Amino acid sequence: MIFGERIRFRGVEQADLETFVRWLNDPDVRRGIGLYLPFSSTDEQEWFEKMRQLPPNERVMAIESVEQDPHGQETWHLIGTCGFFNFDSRNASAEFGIMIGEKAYWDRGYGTEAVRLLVKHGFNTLNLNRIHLRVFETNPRATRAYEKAGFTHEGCQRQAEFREGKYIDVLVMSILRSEFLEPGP
Amino acid sequence: MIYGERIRLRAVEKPDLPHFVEWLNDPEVYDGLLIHNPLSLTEEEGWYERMLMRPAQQHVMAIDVKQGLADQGETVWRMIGSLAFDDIDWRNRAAELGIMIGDKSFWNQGYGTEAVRLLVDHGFNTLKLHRIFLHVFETNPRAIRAYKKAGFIEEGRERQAEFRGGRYIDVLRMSILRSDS
Repeated sequence: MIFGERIRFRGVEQADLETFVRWLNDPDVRRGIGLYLPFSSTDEQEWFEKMRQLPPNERVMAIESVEQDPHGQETWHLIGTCGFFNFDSRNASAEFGIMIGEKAYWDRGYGTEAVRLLVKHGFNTLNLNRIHLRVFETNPRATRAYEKAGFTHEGCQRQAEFREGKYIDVLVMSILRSEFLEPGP
Repeated sequence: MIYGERIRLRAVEKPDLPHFVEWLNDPEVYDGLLIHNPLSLTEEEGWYERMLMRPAQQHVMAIDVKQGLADQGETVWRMIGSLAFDDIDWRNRAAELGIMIGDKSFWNQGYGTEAVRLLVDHGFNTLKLHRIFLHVFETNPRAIRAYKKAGFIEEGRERQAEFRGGRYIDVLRMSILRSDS
């Protein structure tokens, strides 16, 4: 497992899928991601089987947040998922995706912390040079989290996505190894 | 076939493949493309078979230049390159454009610009696309100039996205919208 301050990444288990289906059918969650159709448990099971066949570095990870109960015991709660895809080994670059599906954890810095942890994993363990992402212009919460985690705006794919009756821009952001190792002022 | 002023776009035929192999092994040509390994005719034949499995709108087309008239009055054409739409996204009505002018004796004469314009016109007016985009290496000013002349706008710079000649270079992303043209 990969540990941060308030969160950790672990492998996805069969028992997580039910929660994923609930998130992926929530319009507030879906608005920020690539899905736009109702999503069944069967769809999710198929996704899980396919995902497990991917090379280990490209498998989706579960994000968990730690809480202390009144007795001081630590418990972990599933709050989202993240992972790299579109690995380009020759160019040492990869794209990543993240979803904080549990809305009670929105606006509390968990997304930013998860992005920072994933970026650290990408540069320090997977030996990447460049990490990039795409985000809808209609998703300022996510854009702000990426900015806080050190990502730079490098492009705007004009009217690249059709949602809710109109074309919207898709922003492209990236962070380079040199920016991660030697953060600017 | 799709006709322009000096050029036409036609389907690729098997006898074209040896020309493609020659071009794709020319460093000056492949410097601007995603290819970086020596390419055999066998590999190119495999590519051709797979390309034919793609939807018709995404088949690669040959760019022919009008060479004048033969003795019998027939127009003579000479193939100088190829182009295609990749990955047409019908829900978002967007497609990526790729082009190669492989015959270097036809560089710097506006043929690339004319071919891009012709494919863009086909994309908007026949395929009913909304957005056409492309990637181009920052090290390829000839191509960038052609795309700008054809109406493309630089909309992004993917920093250090490609490793070539021992260093990382930026990849520019350009696009044209139906409403731009």
